[in-house]
Amino acid sequence: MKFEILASCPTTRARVARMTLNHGPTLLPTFMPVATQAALKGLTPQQTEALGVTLILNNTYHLNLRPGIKILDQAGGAHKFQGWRRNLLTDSGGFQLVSLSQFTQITEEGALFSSPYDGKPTMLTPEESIAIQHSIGADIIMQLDDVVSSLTTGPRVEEAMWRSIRWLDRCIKYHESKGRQDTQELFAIVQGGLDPKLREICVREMINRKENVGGYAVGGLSGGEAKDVFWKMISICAEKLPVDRPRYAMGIGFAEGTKLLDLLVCVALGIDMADCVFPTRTARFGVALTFRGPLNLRLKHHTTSLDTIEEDCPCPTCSSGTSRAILHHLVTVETAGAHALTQHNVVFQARLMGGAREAIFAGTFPAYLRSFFANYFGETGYPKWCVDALRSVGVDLLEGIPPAEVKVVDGQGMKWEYSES
Amino acid sequence: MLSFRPHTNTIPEVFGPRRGLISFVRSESNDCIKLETPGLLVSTSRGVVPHLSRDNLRRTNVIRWINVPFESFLERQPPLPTTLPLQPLLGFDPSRHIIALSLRDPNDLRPIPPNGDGHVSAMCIRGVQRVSPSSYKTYVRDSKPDVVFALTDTCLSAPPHSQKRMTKSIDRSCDWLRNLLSSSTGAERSRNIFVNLAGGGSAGARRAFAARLVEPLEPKDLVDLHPLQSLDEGISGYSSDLASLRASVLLSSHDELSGLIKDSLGSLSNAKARIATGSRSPHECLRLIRDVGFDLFDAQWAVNAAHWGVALDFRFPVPSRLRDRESLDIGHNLYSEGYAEDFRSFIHPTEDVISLEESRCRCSACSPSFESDILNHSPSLDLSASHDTTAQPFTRAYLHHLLQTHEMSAHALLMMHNLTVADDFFAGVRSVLEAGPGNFNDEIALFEKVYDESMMVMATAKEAWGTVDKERGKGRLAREQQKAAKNDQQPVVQTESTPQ
Ligand SMILES: [Zn+2]
Ligand SMILES: [Zn+2]
Repeated sequence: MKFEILASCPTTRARVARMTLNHGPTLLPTFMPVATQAALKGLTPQQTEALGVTLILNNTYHLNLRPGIKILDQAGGAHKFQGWRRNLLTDSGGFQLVSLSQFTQITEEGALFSSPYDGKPTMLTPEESIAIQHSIGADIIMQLDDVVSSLTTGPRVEEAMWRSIRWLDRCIKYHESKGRQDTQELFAIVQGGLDPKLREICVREMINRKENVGGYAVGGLSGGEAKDVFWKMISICAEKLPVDRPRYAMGIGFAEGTKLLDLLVCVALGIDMADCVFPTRTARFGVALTFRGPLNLRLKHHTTSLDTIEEDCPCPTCSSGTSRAILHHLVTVETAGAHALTQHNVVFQARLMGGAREAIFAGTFPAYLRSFFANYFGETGYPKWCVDALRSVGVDLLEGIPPAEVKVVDGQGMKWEYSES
Repeated sequence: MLSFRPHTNTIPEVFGPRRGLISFVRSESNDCIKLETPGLLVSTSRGVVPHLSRDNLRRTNVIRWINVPFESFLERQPPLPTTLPLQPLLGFDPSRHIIALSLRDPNDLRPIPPNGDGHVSAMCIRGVQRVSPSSYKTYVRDSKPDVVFALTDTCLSAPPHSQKRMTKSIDRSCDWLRNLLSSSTGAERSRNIFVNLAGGGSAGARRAFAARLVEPLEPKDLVDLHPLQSLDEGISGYSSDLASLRASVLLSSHDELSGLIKDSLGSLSNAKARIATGSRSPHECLRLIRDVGFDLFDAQWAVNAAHWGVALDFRFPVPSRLRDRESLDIGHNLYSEGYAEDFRSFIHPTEDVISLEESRCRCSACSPSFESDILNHSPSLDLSASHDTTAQPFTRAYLHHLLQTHEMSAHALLMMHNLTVADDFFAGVRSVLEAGPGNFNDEIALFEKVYDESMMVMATAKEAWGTVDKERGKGRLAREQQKAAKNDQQPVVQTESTPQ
């Protein structure tokens, strides 16, 4: 892997980098669309690539169930299986195991669960997770970590952190024993719950293994925690992690609607990549993302609008003149309606990140943040946690706004076209 | 302006196989769209070719003629295409696509209240809507299709239909056509009109309707329809909706079906284009070309196959390596576990050598290519795009996976493929016709022997589709279920006896 920092924001911790992996370059910061089952909802790899996407995520847990390792091996890996020629990242499969399996028990050996095939007790060890990810063949693979809910407190959190470190060592050992370190980059996952001390210890331990890992992920933040705590954990980790390795905020913010902010705030805090099911998932429900907030195209007031979703959007949907009215006619009824929105939403997020890269490169990232937030939240008010998080890295979102017009709101920062208005 | 020119050396007296050329010249741009016949037309659902996003529609260059049923737009007033014409509204390409408008989807046989003297009952999500001939004329004027199907009084109630009912049906259909042709109601006369051959399952009624088309106009109509001398002079071609025809009468053989159509066409000009919607199999298309002489087919079987996970794999004429085989499936039910480890593309002869007559399928699933022009979201940062556009064909194993995991892209890929196979099938028909009608009859007989017409493969795939849909499709788009219900009324397992 080649990781070159092209520019750093003089104010925040954001940076622009070119990460060159086995399947070519990816510019950071970026978001990764999630192709859980080796397919990005409704789109072919040709369509996905044309949108300007260079890195997608496959889920190990799902691919291991279907099509299974035997078939992936025959196909020559997941790239060939799905016809994707750019970069690919897989998770360890552990998180989904814990959240989707009915019975999971963590032992030092690995995660014990009942097989979805026959219900028999089955063990996912760190070695096994890496072996599966070797068959899948993604450019970036993740260590197996001991996942605990971000709401867990007490000694279990520390136990999970230390175990994750021990499991990282086993993953590294197995990975290198198979000679895969030149074609697949192993990322470590920082754990430690919501305890800043544990996070710092974990980061320190993992930095000790820097020569054996390609990059770092911040794990264990899955949406249950308060936004205030969330950004502080990201910040602590991003600040301490080595500059010359990519940083990945994993599975952040499952609560829909906050995803965009999470992503942009994380970039300011020094994160380079994040995965995101939001654009593809919301598309199926008729939601289009725009720089002025999400549009729910199922609502009646779109029935007569001949406007495209967003005027200057280069996506295949907007650039071919697809009106909101015809999307209203199609969404949730015809699959082609979902495809049109998926294409737009993926491009929207790619533009958001592309714009961030341009701004960081040009030294205007703080202004980019201010204008994004002003457009997106101008009417509803700025989420307080975003204001605080960005203030911590030297950006005052409220700068230049007359005090009388400043509106800051508590909570998640949802902005949603909920109902008829 | 739409024109149809049968190739003079092939045009039979009235009935029989023929080749021809449909050309459409767009006066605004001088774009000329050409369509060799017999050929393929593609139908839309709610204004889109099922499963195809606009970029995939563009990638599927076998799509030339697009039928748009208007009825789904009736759920809003004014209907959307009257605010913005069909072409820009639906994103079709004026230089490549001929857009044909009908009120109803001819393959939708769900029960619906009967038509009245002054209206046709149409179906949309909000239920049944009545459309008067004059509103239809306004819809046509404002939505600006290239081709219009005139309103027809089709009886969708269970047969038999009384003679009185049939007479009324013919009267109405003629009145509605006259209304569409008339220039006195303020609206300009519609051009490029196709008329559905009315009369249902009654030979007499069908002959009577045809006679009404060609009989001289009554004096009062001569003014209204000036300069036309008959209704027939104002129309470009005839259409036969096989689905509703089958529903209106119990047919025991293909000969009965083609006989009824011949009853209509016998007294009509053989120089006008003939469209058949609702054909059930490629076999039926071949016989209709042989016995009647049709020029365009909607090939709904190719679309259904894509819904149900079948990748079509057949050719006409039958390739030499298959000529001694029997009852082969016309495609692959990719739900079947047998394809889980099959890394071949959809069409792939079992022998290693692909003969010259079988070059690789040119569809975007079997011969995909990456775009050379991709979006770059941070242009100042040079991310050199790959100029290599070569992509590997999608495999049966991958499609099997997509179908089993309920991924929508399966259906998009299958649509692009199946429409291409259907288009190649008609290209094969044309090439055999070029060699002479004798060959054609032999080749049809061979095709009927080699490929299973009962299409069990479709029925089995549909069952698997239903199972996976139930298990995994919690969020499945409701419309697909509706479609399945709709398709249930056109059983794929054929009940007619197959001629030898
Ligand atoms: Zn767009
Ligand atoms: Zn193909």
